[in-house]
Amino acid sequence: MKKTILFILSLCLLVGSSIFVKYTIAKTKTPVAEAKVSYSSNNIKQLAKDSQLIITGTVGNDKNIITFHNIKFVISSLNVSDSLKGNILSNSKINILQTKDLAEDPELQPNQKVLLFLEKYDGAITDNAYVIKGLYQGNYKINNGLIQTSKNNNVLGPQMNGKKLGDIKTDLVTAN
Amino acid sequence: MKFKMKFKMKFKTKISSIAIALMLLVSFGNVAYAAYYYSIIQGTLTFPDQYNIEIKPTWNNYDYSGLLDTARSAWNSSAAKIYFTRTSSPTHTQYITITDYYFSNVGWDGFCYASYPTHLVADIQINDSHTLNPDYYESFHNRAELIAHELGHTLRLDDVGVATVLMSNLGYIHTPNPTIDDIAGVNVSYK
Repeated sequence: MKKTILFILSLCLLVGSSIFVKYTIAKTKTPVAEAKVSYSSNNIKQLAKDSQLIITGTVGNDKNIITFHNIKFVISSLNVSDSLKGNILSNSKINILQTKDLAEDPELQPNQKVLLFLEKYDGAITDNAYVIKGLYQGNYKINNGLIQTSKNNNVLGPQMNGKKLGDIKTDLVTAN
Repeated sequence: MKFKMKFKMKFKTKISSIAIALMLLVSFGNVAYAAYYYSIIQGTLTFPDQYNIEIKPTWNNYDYSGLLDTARSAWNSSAAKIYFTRTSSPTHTQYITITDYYFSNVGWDGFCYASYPTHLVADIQINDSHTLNPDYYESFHNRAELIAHELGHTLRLDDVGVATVLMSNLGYIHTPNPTIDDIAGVNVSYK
């Protein structure tokens, strides 16, 4: 009898604690900064259409952090491997402007292979740089030839995650 | 012996019923809780008087005062247990600052540093790009919603991937009014 009671009590405790973890701890996160993203797209073909440039490349090691009107921005260099849209030569180097410490704009990591949907930046923060269209929506890592999306990308992510770069290329080129 | 067995059976049934009832209670509670989409930003920033949360605006390129008032009225008239006031000289140590600047196409319309344990103020920045650029005229009508959304961040609400709530990261809902979901999220922190 004692065993039965103990079993039931531990079962309740297990269920209770798992719910607590799922809905209390999981619902809080460490803050950095929050932003309302200007652009949102329901499908990758639309994002491709709205982007000026779609490229694959490798992130360089050099980064430049700029504070502009109390907000930190980071400029990363990118060595272009292939251009799927726009007039950029392979092996050329471009700059990518991102807002630093912003969950919606996952920072490019050195030596990471990426697939980026870009548009030319036309403001006063820096000259001659590109921004990622729709922030997290246009930022994809490439690992072993497979596309990997960021956590927040809950609409376009499932359309891209785990796909082969080769298969995506065909889709994107036909969308232009 | 028979009596002992009967008692044992009865006791077992009772225990099982209690366990089932407990499980059901937990499950239903779980369903009710899961119906909300809000997400809360971890942090320790609490405004000293939740019914007088001060906002200090400083406008650079465009006077958003009217839109700010629309946004704070939307929150103030909701069931959220907070109240925003606009002031040029805050009386509390912790207050919200809101300003605007032309950041151009950085990818966001509004930005908020909030709930930092070390921050005494919550900073909101409005990107003038869509306000001052006539090509983005349509977006101007969402400015009050944008400010209401950023005010939501100062109340520890995080963005959520749901298109129908004020704290959505999937575009605009075309009203500055917080939804039941947003209000429930705020009232977790402000009781």
